[in-house]
Amino acid sequence: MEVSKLNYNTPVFKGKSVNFQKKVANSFAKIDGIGEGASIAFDFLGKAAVVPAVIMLSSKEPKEKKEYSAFKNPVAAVIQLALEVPILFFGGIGIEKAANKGVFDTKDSTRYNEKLHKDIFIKELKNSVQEENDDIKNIIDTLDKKGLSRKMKENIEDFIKTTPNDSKDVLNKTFSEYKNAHTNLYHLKNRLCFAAAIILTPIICALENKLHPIIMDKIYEEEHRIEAKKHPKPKLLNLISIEQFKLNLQSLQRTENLNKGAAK
Amino acid sequence: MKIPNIISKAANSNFMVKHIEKCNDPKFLTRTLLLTSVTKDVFAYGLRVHNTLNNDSIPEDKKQFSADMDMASGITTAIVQICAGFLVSNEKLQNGISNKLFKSLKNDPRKFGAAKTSFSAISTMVVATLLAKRILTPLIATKIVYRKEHKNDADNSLKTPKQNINTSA
Repeated sequence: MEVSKLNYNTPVFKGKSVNFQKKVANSFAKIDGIGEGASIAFDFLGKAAVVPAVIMLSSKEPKEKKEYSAFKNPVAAVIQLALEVPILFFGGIGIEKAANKGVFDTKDSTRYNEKLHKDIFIKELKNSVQEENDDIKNIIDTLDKKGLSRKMKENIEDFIKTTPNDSKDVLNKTFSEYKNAHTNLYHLKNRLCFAAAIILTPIICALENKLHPIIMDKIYEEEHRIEAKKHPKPKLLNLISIEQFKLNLQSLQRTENLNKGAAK
Repeated sequence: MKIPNIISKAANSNFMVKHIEKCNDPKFLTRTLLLTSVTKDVFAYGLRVHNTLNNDSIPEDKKQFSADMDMASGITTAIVQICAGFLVSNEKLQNGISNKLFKSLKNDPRKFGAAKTSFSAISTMVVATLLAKRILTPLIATKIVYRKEHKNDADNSLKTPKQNINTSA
């Protein structure tokens, strides 16, 4: 390495910060599918941890009143999570199955039928080459196992660039339709799960309202139990011994006085 | 009409088709997520106020405070989240941050676009859902409730001397 080519003006930390920036950028580029799931996760995090802390720190109400209101949020967050996650998960699976069976297809459109567009694309992909090669096998296997991820989209787009010109247009068109169906179905699932969550809100609130006083009572019972342990009530045995101590003291004083009188 | 038919009609309605097409725009997608979250919150807070007031198992002295807290939180959360979320998801602001933060991806438009979309959604949700909704909202709501609860105290303290004067007279 030539010494003249070394850059003495570049501090070490600058290199580190550039690397860190690259890592951050790549991490954000990898994130895929931000939807209702992410929204539920953020909501849970805030409700379960941030809200109680803020109420306890900022409210000037008596401690007991504040606790009552603050603890309501983690209870609500857990109930909400326990109800919303299954809706999102199983609801999503149900909608996907229905869409792929063609339940949401119309005469003019198959915009939510991901399986149909996937099959068309795979058929064209196989037609584009005379013999099925490893690249195509890998693409088909990954699509079957993991679905159409962001990375997979990029890999397929790169692969299409390497195919012969006469099949390139058809592949681009069918892949674009497949991608659109995938995105359309994803957004439809999110909107329908949102609608389901709204419809179920009264049940969530009713459950919360039933569970909240029960949990709060349990918490207060536990608090009283701990408090009672810290400051135990005087036992009967102790009272007797104190009384006995007083009597002993009195008799001692009397004996002392008698002794003093005898000495005089 | 069966549920799948209702869903199919809704999914293929003009409104839904246009809405889903617009979701390809990161700003629109982010704001949609924000508005769905706000809608759920406002609806839940409204129901919670109603349920708290009608729940006999909650002690009377805690019931009103809890209901007032929920009502103030519901109104405040909607205003604060929408303002903060719309501010953060602003295109100019997002472009500025993305251009600086994702400088290394400028040569790869696909990755740059993906990173920008993710950042727009996550930053908006962090600011709106965690900071605005969970820190600003309770701070503002508790102040509102405290003022409301102690409004009577202030009124009484003003009235008491007058009453004393009247009595003495």
